[in-house]
Amino acid sequence: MKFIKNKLTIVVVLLSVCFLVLIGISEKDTKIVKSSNAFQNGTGVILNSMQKGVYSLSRGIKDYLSFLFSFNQVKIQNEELKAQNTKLLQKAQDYDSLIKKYDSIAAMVGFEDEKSGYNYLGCEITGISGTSYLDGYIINKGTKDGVNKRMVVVCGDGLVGQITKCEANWSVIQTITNENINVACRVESTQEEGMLKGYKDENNNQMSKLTQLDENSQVQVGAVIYTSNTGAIYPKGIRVGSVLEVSEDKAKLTKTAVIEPFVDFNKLQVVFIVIPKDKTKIAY
Amino acid sequence: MKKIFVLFLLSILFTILDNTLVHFIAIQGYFPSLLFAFIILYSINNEGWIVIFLGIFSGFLQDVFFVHGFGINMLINMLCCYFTIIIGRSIFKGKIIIPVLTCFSLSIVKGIIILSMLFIYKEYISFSNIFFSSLYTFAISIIMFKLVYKLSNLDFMQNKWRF
Repeated sequence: MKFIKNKLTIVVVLLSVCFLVLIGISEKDTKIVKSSNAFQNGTGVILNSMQKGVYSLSRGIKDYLSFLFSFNQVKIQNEELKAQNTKLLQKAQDYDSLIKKYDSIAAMVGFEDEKSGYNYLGCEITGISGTSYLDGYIINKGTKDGVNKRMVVVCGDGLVGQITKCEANWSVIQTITNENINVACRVESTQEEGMLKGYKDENNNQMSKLTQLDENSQVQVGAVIYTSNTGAIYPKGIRVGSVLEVSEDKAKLTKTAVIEPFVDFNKLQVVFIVIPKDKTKIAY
Repeated sequence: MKKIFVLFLLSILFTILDNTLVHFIAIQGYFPSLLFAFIILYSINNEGWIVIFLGIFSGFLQDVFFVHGFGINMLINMLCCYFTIIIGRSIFKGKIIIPVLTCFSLSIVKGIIILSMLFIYKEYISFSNIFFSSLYTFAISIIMFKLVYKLSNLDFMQNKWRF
């Protein structure tokens, strides 16, 4: 019996060494890593197909319950949206006529729209990754669909984040509220540039911080932030969020703005991966 | 064989729930790990190779979607299961306090090891995240304890002598 117990200890020690080696080489492009990646991808595909249904069902139940519990709020919101809609319809008409004018002028001068340099690949979220430490989302598109690590992910409301793990049939996104994601951004009203980093406030709400703003920055609460393309990873002009609070760091002679992202990360279901048509202009 | 099949299915079920449903019951953005609570509670009531393999398999399932260092969760879960076997030998089975406290403390230890390993990849996670997620896992383990204990005592889950 004692021998068996010792055997267990010896095997645990040997396996620990093997796992440490595996962790060490997991980021390198070796044969073992490639075969383990294929195995991971296969497992991921099977899990994703099962997770997809459970995720959609849980999302549906949560949305329904939150609708029931906030019915009065929804009613007020509905009235506000109706009023806003009337205004926006008027604006949309003006916008259509402006687009027509713009197209004719652009055709005349041969101007190429910056956003036409990208394709947008729609993906569904199939689960959450990261075992609660590194929050991320699992999506159902991978390298087979032309997706690569570090590609940018957006949704209708604005910037979502970046691809941080990419397998053949699925990928993992980390959002801009993760402190390990950095995005060069610009303030719309003042055209000042800063570095956006993920941040969680005292209530653990998912926020971002725009750091490295100049000490004399004129940035104000409510200002809109968008990507600036410095670093050639994030395309220019993607809406990120609005300024919630501005604070001054007198030691570093800089200002920092707390940003509330436009994207509601609790309601994400469909996202788009921005795939550049010309990959030579991109830094990944 | 039936025992292995049940553990395999339960591990997959808890992985799926961890990646989907658990996110929707998050409190202030912190959520527990059902899979981790399950393997610790199972390990404390059992011992032998099956527990070590359960640790490795559950770690593999967590590593599939983990961003960096494939093998981190396999290593930590295996070691956690091994230490839980040792703790389990010296306690009265069926009592709740030691198993759930083990679950809480090993969850914190796991978080700290992940925090230090991710530091090598220049990824940062906050300690408060680890602490509150472990606290939530602890609360879940209180609910899960009786169920896992009953599961461990089912006839087909035990290796009994046959005469």
